[in-house]
Amino acid sequence: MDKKIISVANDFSKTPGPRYIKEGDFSGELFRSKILEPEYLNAVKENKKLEVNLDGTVGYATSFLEEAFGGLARIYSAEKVLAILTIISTEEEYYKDEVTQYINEANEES
Amino acid sequence: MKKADIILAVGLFIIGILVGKYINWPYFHISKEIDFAEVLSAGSSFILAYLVVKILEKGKEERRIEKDYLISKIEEVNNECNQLISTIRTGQIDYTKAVSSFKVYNIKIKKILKIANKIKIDITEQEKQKILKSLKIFKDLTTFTPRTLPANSPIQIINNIVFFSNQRISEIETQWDRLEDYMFDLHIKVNKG
Repeated sequence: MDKKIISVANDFSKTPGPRYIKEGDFSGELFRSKILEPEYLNAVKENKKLEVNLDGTVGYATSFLEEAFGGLARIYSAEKVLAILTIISTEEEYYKDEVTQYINEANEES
Repeated sequence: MKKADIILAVGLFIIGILVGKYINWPYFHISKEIDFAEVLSAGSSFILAYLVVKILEKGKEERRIEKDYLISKIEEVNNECNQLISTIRTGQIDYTKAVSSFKVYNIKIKKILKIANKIKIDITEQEKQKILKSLKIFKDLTTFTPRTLPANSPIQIINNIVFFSNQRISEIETQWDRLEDYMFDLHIKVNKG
């Protein structure tokens, strides 16, 4: 299965911000609506995997990751999102588990 | 060989001569003749003992340097965290600065734990997780905002600035105290290890 690749640092910002657009620049909500969701839909359409690389930024707030990835799962369900999405995080390995946790928890909430 | 070592060796040699010449031990016979093979044997034993001591001293010194390096890194993280806490106590902090600080702490602490492991300082997986989980709670208290914020939310973000309630500041301070204790335990373990 081919894959599409998103690098948060290169395709969005090296300084990811808070949860919502109204709270400040480069929010998780903005990342989800402008980059993650369109690329996710393209990947589904083209039957590809979507790899999101979290390295190269100054760091992530938990809210950013929850809103971006948990938010995507609230729209499309955790099972579908997890089937397509792969997280790469070598600088802070625990983000991989965290993101998976947010996706699963979002599923339980919705 | 150091000057003090030479003085000590000469001193012992002189004492040996004096003891042999002037002191008569009851029931003991001190021979006035020395076998050349025994001199060689004694000499080589002395050199060997000297080298062993030197090697052990060098190993000890190298370990001290490694431990001092780790301790300086632990103190560096502590100082940086204390600076962050000082800013948080003002009730507000730049969001990007807070987030990036936690990434730096995480990387630095993991590096300390990795080096400690490399130089065989016994830090258990449980102790490592205790520090990293404590840092995670510290980070979440400082940067996590729930999906729906109540009117009297302890944390709010406006224009990339995080504002904390007094209660949240106390919670963050308590969490930092906890983490600082774990870092102190790590400091002691490195020092004794």
